[in-house]
Amino acid sequence: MATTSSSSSVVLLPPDAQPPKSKSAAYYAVHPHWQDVIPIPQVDQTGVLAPIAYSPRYSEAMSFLRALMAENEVSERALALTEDLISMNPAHYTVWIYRMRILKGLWQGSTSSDNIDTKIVEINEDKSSQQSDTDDNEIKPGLWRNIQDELKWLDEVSFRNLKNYQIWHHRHALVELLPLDPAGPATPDSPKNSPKNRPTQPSSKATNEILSSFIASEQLFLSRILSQDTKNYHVWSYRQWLCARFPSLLLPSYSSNASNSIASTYRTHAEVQAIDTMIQDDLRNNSAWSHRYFILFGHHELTYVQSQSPPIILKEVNEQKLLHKAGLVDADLVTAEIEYTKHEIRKAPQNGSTWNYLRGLLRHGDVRITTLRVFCEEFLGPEGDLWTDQWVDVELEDPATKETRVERQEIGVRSSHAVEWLSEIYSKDETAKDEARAKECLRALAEKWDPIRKGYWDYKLSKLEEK
Amino acid sequence: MDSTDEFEPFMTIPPHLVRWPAIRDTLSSSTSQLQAQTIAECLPLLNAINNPSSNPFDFDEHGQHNLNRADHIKFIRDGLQALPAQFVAMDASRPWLMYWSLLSLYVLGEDVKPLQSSIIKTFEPLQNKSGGFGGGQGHLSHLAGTYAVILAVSMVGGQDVYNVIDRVALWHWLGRLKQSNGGFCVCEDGEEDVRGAYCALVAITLLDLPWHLPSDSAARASGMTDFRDGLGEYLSSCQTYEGGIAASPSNEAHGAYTFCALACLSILGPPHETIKRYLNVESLLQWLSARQYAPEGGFAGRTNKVVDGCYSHWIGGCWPLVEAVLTGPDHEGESVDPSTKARIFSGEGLVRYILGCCQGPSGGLRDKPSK
Repeated sequence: MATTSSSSSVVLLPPDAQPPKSKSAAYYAVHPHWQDVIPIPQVDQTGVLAPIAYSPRYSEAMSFLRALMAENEVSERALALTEDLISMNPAHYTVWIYRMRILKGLWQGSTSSDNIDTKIVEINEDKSSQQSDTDDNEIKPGLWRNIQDELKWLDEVSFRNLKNYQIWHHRHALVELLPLDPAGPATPDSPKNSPKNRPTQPSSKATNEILSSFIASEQLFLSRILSQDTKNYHVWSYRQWLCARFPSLLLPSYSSNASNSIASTYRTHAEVQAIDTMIQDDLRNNSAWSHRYFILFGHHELTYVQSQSPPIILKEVNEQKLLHKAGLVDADLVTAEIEYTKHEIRKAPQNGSTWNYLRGLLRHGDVRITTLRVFCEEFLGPEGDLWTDQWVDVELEDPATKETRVERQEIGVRSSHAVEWLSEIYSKDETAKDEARAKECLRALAEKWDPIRKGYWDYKLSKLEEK
Repeated sequence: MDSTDEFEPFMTIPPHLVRWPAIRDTLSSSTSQLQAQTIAECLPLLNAINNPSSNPFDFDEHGQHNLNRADHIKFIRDGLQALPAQFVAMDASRPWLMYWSLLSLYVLGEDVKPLQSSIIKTFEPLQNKSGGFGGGQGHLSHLAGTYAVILAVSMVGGQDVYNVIDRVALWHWLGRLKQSNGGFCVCEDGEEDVRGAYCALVAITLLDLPWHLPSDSAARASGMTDFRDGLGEYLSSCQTYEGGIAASPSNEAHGAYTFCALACLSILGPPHETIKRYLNVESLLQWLSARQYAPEGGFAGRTNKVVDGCYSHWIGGCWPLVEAVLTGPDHEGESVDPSTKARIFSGEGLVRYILGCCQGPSGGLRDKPSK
């Protein structure tokens, strides 16, 4: 029930009033905690293009947001305003970023109570002080509780807004507040986590336990959200970042190299098992394969590139076999994954994800494509024919009755990728070079198996003919 | 097909554009189910000329629908009018609403100069004193919104329009976005990905900003002095094992980010130099070519995703840049002959997809028929 303020004729809401569901009711303008704020309304001149007819609730909230941001206010009421705006427009990147700034300010050392009040915390512009909770690579229990509370809220918002990516950047920013991985290499994208900034003391048992349990619950949450939207680019990007941020906990390969192979143990690693599950559910999920490449191999390439000074060009790592020279290629792992991938290819030979992954393996492991000649030929027609239809009506004779019947059988070409690979293999195979057959593969692709890419196949043909 | 036949009842469209693919796996998964659905919704539209109940006068001599220019222009102009409250989700993307509409009118040959004063009224309130443009009034400056504003200004022209942009403040803001790994964040405290790099370079070149970093740029602490420092190497680290380019190092190869990276490199220097220097062109070409599907004819953004009209722009835009690498001045004996303009991708496939499957019944273009 609204009460009347003695100093004005405005009828104010009670102090504990929450934002209303109605899109038109006033709230901030008539709330006792907001009376000191002069809102900054949006001014759209006539003739503005594509103006949005905002609901009064949204206009009002935005007017108050502009006022608070103009003063860099950090407070519980500002936090509540960001939550309100996020509920009305989850794609509002400014509100998310402001929310993060408020949280950092509130968590830094405010002694305010849990009541919503108007106490304003001075925002500390000195960013290095944000490391104060983690300088010794420990995490204060208070900060950890705060992060957990925010994550719990964020989890729910994430499920309600699957296509939103500000949410994932917010999660990234939150998790960034946690201590560094106790025993890992530098992350690709975070110079402040470079080796020279790494803490020299190991973390306490308590901190290590917090990080382990956090990672386990994160994997669970990620699996749940990915089950709703299996290829969500922002979720996978966040997952890649998380793995690089906590390599000893999430990257099976972080310590693997030429003399210390993980080939016999990696399949039981939780992150590998998570990917195995997604691949079993849908072996065509390219996001899962792409993540697999990163956690097993790509991570080494990027860490190597980032560690060079001056920075080097990624493609030169493979071209000049720099990882091999540095002893960072786990050849047994490459072999194990080649076998795994061939097995997956056989289940669905026209699946582009598996063939692309296999190519990545060959390049990383410096394995010659010609070693896959026999494998690729499995997917051709009778006697290696390059033109037989995938399905052919075959006449069968019953030996006893001599009656014939026709049965559709899969005896022809069943993978255009195999044909593509063979065009390369036949032209490169030192011991059994077959230029003519290499060209025939490309012609078969252009005319029959993948004619929409004729321009590309003709281009490849012309490159062969140049030689 | 004999063009003297006035009433050719069975139009010959290339078979691969009106039939199921020649090879299909038996094993089904949610990806293949969605892919099959997509083909099923496109085939009748691609083959519409051969449907006896179609009106043959709706089609041109290639058996193709015309581009419904008038309907699209009306759709675009309607979209520039007041939008209802449900469009609140676009409040942080106001520059995009302006830019995409303007671009569409522009390529359709409409005169956009009359929109000069409306454009000023739209983007001026989005500019922040500290430099750059936000997605809405009072929103933090963002490279995507800034990019859209700058390109809108470029299309509509006018000294008055151009003068609204505070170039000096924008330059300082860009300096705050430059990262020590060579890339750019899209806004302060925001994410870093290749969109940032591309939008930043468009801003610097179109506004004729100095290449050297402002003195207050944090990136100077890492020894950088120029907006281009470390940029090529950063972009190279975004190329994946598939050959395409990801948003950030370690992510999945994706059409829109591939365009941003290639376009950024093409601003950094001539594509036949920069793309060749920083990327594995062979694997890029292979991945790019595999983005086009049949029978649909359109492009998909990632391996094993379905086609989407928007990639006509993102993937389509990659092709001239990659072709420039193959036919550039220093190629020796490269086989793509510019005089025959042989394209590596199928222009016919793409056109049939856009005209046949992406035109909305009352104007506007869409992702695919079911969207």
